[in-house]
Amino acid sequence: MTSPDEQLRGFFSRVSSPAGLADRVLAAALGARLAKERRWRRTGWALSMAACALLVWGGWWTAERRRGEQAKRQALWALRLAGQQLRRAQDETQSVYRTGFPSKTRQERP
Amino acid sequence: MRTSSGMTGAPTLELASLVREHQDMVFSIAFQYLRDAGAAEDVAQEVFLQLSQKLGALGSAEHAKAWLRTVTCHRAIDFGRRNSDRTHVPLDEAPEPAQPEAADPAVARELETWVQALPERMRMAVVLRYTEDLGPQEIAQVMGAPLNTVKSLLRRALERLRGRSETQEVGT
Repeated sequence: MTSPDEQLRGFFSRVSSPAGLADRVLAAALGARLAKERRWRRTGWALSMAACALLVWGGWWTAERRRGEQAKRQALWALRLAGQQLRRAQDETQSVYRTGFPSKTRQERP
Repeated sequence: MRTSSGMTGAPTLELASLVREHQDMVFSIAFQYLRDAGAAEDVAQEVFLQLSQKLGALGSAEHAKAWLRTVTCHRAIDFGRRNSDRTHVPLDEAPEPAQPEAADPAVARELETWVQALPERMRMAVVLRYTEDLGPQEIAQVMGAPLNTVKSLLRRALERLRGRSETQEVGT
């Protein structure tokens, strides 16, 4: 007749782990590590692609902006020239109306 | 315990040697708690996978062993809760004990019924007491419970066992 304590020790004694458990565990750990590395690689690739796209878009946007500013400058220049021409034509018209002749400056011009 | 030098130069524990050294301990705790070899293997895999991610944070082999015990204890309880409807493996299909079992089949059946009826924390305290031969203080550390609670759990578990035995003796 054994004591309850001894019975419990016998019943709850350590059992051997199934054959190949360590190998399966190590294979699973390796698989998990490789999957994690793959995930990081994919994330890195996606981030670098996004950075490239951002750079390309940034370059295009800067070039477009520069072109726009140049066009604006040219338009302003053209308006200024047109304004000068208009003022001159107006002076000529007034001179002809007052004296019957074009202004001197106009006649002297080659 | 084998260690290797990591990138920082500090010695790091090797997963393979930890797994080989402690697989019986982890499997035994999970098996004795769940009474199911397949479930115990699942728990062992889960615990060692978690270990592979935590390896850098565990300083020494003793720390790793204590960590494995604690995590196995909690994982087994969680697994038991998640799969409470899972059927248990009959005694004939249970894995071989590391040392020959002293109890006769009738006593084993009686203990099996007793252990199935125990509440989860009480069952885990009993498993740690008799499988790992831990004292109440160590069990309290592993389970994260107060010492008096653990003592009370163990005392009540044994009282239940004695109560069952006496009932059966009166019945026969």
